[in-house]
Amino acid sequence: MVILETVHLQSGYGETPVLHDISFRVEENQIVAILGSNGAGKTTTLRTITGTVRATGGQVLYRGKDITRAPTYQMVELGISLVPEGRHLFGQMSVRDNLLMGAYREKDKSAIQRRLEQMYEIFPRIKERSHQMAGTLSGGEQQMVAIARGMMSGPSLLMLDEPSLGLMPKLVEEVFAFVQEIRRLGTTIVIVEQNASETLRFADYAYVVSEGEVVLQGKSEELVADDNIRKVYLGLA
Amino acid sequence: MLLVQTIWEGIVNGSILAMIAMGIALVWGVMGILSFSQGEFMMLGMFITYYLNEYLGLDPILCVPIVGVIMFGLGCLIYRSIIAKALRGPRLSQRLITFAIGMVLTYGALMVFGGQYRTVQNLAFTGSIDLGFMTISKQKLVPLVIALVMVAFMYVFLNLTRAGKAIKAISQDKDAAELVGINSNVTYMVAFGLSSALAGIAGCAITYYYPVYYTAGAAFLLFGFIAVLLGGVGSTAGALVGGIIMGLTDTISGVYLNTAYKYLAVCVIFMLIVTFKPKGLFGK
Repeated sequence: MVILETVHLQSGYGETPVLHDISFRVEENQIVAILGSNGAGKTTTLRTITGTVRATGGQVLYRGKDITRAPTYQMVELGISLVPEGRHLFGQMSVRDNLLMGAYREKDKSAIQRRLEQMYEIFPRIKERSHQMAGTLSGGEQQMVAIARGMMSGPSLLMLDEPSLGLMPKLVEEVFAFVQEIRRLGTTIVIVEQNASETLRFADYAYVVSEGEVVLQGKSEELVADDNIRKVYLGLA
Repeated sequence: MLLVQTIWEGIVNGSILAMIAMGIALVWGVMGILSFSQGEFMMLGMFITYYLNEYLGLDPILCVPIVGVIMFGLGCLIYRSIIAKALRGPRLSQRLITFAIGMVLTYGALMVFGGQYRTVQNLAFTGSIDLGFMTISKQKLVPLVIALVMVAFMYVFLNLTRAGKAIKAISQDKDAAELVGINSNVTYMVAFGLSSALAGIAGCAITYYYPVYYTAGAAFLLFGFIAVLLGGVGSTAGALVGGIIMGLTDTISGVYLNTAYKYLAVCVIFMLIVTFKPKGLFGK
């Protein structure tokens, strides 16, 4: 079943158009990667889906329902959670309070407690730091807190924007392992990445975005297998 | 024993300033608006109290919740009709809009209520407590208690309630707050409403010893702003300490120098802080 679909989505900042034609589909329980170079429009795509950037054309459909004009704060209630680029933690709150803020819309206290424990189980490192101010954590730890906070609303769809940005290779591997673990919990994942080679190892399907348009799509293993695509679009040798 | 007496008066004034400062810090921290109308919200609180006292015979203590509710509503209304729109406009109008609101309220009050000084009658607590080394006027003790209760209320509200946490989250990272499901527009409105309610209650409390007139609030504005900078934006305890330091500076310079020099003293302190402690006394 298709959980998220964008149809000829267009948007931009002020008078400057950024997205010209973004159409993609995400099936339930898939990991879908959106790849492309810096400035291709990947982050803008996610921000347009969540309503942070206004769509100027096209549609965003979530479980078949048009959510193009839905405001950002309604996303978690729909079941969509975005882990934004640059983490955007509440720097002067403790790690635990950051996670609890992630469940801001959740009324069921036992569900909050259950998710909190689940996140501490997946990310034992942040459990150790639970009373530390989020702003004082290392980049890798902050990324884990950001992902865990994104999961605290119990989303059906988790969108991750460049989770590997600025992390050491060893930590990148660790973060990507967590992403796969989260999928095993039954959450569908959209991941935006510049790091194509690593991402294609675990994504089911990938879209390549260039200059605000989807220029290529396919199953991960097919994209990786095609030498021409590897060279031209993925920047891989 | 003049010094002890002066310090006491300074603490009372400072606690009132703390309420003004908390409102300024709240609105600045949440939405980046400089609340130049804070003194006028205080003045409106004084007039509402005066009329409730005059026509219904209510003591200012009983007026606190009424003024709080009215000023909260007025703040929300001003936010929705003016501030929310200014926030979509150029930054200069965001900075100046509250100044214009303050002017309209000041001279509107002059038109509607007239320019004479008034005082609230039949106070529930008058007289003084003689401690030997100083006398505590009950007319000043009541505002101090009201102010401390409000500071405690704000601390609890910001740290323990859902709406308070939303306000904190928005002031730390607006994008992230929206993504976890916080409606920033509603939160801004609540913050603005609370800030004007705080100023209104400060006005209500101060009628216990201060005359009611249309420019009464203006004198508190500069002190309120500097109190925020002293205490550091976003800290309730900081606003209290900053307010009290400002109150002490005000009364001590008034008594030992000359009331004409109190602005000099306050502004010198401000410059010293900017130079040596740019993030405020408690800033990290």
